[in-house]
Parts: sequence; C-alpha cells; structure tokens
Amino acid sequence: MIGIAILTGLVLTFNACYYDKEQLLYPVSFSCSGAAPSFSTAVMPIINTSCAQGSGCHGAGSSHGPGALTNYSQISNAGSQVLSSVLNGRMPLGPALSAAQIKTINCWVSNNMPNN
Amino acid sequence: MTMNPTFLGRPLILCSILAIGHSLHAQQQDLLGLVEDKTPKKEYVTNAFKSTRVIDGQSMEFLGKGVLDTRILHRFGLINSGANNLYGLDQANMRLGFDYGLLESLMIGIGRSNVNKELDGFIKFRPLWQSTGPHSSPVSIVLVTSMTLTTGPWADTSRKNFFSSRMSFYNAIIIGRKFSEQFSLQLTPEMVHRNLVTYTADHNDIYALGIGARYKLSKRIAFVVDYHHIVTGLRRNTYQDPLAVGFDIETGGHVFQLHFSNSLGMNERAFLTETTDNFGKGAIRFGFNLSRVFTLHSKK
Repeated sequence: MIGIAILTGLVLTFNACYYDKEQLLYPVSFSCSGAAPSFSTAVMPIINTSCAQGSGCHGAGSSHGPGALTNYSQISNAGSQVLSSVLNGRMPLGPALSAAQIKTINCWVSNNMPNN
Repeated sequence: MTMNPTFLGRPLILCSILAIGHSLHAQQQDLLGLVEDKTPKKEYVTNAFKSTRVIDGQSMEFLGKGVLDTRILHRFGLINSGANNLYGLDQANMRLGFDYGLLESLMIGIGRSNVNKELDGFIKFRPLWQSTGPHSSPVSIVLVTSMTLTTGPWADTSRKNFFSSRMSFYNAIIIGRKFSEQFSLQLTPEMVHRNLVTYTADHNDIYALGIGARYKLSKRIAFVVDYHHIVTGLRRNTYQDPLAVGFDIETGGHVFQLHFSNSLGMNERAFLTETTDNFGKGAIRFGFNLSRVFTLHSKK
C-alpha cells in the first residue's frame, strides 16, 4: 500500500515537467554603445580558440557548416550564422562561451563587422 | 482357574506389532511420497550483484523486505591533479543516503549530495524476477524512477526564479541476467529530464544506455564495470560517457565498492548530464561507496 501511495505521488509529481530554457526565460539584452570591439584583439581570439584552432572544427579546409573560420573574410561572411549559433548555444560544441565573449561577438556583428 | 498370561499376551503382542507395522508402513509411504514428489519448484535468482548499485547506476539487485541500507558515497578529485592534492584525495564530494526495502520487489531511497546541494529520491520496482523452475523467467526487469532537487541559493536573485527549475527526473528500465554464479550483466535504457537548461539549443531530455557487469573473483570480491553511453541530448564535444570500474568487497553486513571513474555525480542526473572528464585521457578520480544494511523488520 505504501508503495502504491508513493508511486501515485510520483506520477503526480511528473506533472511538474517543464521544458524551460534559461536563455528564453531570462533573455539578456546587450548594450553595444561605444566603439565596436576589435576584430583582431577581441573577436579573432575567441573564434580561434573555440571554433578554429582550439576545437579543430572550423580550421583550414573545414567543410562543417560555414566552413573554415580562420581569417577576417571567412568570419565576416559567416558573421550572422556565427552569431545566431553562439546566441542559441548550439555552438561552440566545446565549452560554452562566457556572457562577455558572447557580447563581444554580438556587438562586433551589430557594428557591421569592422576589420579593426 | 488361572489364565495363562502367555496365552493372553499373544493377541496383544500381535495387535501391537500389527499396529506398529501399519504405522511404520504409513510413515514409509509419507516419506516415499516426499521423495517421489519431484515436481520442480520455482526458485528466484538472487545475488546477481553484491549491491543495489552497480557502481554509479542502479543494479537489478534489491534490498530484502524490511532492510535499511545506509549508503555513504565519496568521489575524490582527479588523480592527475598531482601530489600537492594527494592525487585528488584533498577534494572530497559525498552523498549520504538511505534505502529501504518495502517489499521483496519494491524499494525506495533518498539521499543528498553536497555537489549542487542536491536531494534525490527514487522508487525501484521489479515486475519480473529471474527464476528457475516452472514459469521461470530468464531475466529480471526492474523499473526505476527518481527525482532530484537542487537546494542551493539561486544564481541570480534579481530575476523571477521558479521552484520547478530545481527539479530533474530520471526513468530507467533495467534488463538483467545472472548468467552464472560469477557473471551477471544488465542493460539499462534510461532517460533524464531537466526542467531547466541553459541554452535554447540544449535538450531538456537526455537518452542513454547503461551497461553494468559483475564478475565474481572470490566469495567476497567481485570486479564490476558500470558504463553509460549517452545516445542523444548532450554536446558530444563537451560531455563524456560516464565509465566506472572497480571492486566490490563484502565484509559481513558491509559492502565496500572501491572504484575509478570519470564522473563526479552521485545520482543519475548528475553523472549522466555533468560528466566532462575523459576517462581515456586519464581524467580519472577515485571513489568509494560504503553500504551498511540493518534489518529493521525480520521475516515472520
């Protein structure tokens, strides 16, 4: 009897199942006022570490998604794709980017991806 | 006229002999009946594993009815963290738990891990028990369902936090067989549901397949392997399949499980969804499970 009572309780508890995503539940709005982040000193190191050389997925000759992300033209061509993947957390496949790193990429793209 | 006692005694003795003979014959028949009753009886297979856990995950084994199992689990730091950390022993993570056998095939348990300050509770039920004899079953089938609850402070108190975000669930079907006195094997299709994940691309549901095996080396020592392959739901580049190998050592009412694994988690949600260390690259930690059983209600 005790078992049945507990089982019933647990079944009821399962009604507490949610499919929440923190990113949707608590959207973060970036303020990109001021100068655009530097491509060479801010953006490129992130892409290098998390997408190209560090992970090996988007290194030279890559055919994954937008392909190689090793120089300015490749990264700026794939800019919006990179941003959306980073924002929804689908990328990078390795350790997730920090909020500051996501903000850097976001503000660089929203400032028209300067080669600065 | 005096009666000859010998003459009188004869029928009495004869009657007695006949009565005893009849009684002996009846008893003989009863005994023969027992000997000849060769109807095979159903016998359940026990002791497939020494403990109710393979190492991390649940095993097909149950506690007896009325038995309380006090479980103390430890997972240390990475062995390759060096001598300065005493090869990981400086960092101890633990779970304290209590399991109880409600019926022969129904048990419950609760526990708390210091990692994430997480409470967990489970129910384990065995609808099919491996047995021999008539209507036997070649395998045991065990259903496990559990819930976890993180109890730590919210990361961000300025936003609206929901109690449901603290909860995760685990369900599994264990299909296991004790092949011989030495060898037992079980397969466990399992899933974890997390109410809250970080990114929109993250999956709330994770599906995995657990494989647990035990090989008995002696009466008191067994070699055990517990591996869980994450089928879908986690980033393959970040998360690893939890693997643990070790030895069960039985000493009276205690079972010590000494093992090496790449996972830190001590409940199903934790070790299935948070294992990032790569066993193959030497990211291994030492750990042990200590189990002590107490019989609270003996069988009548």
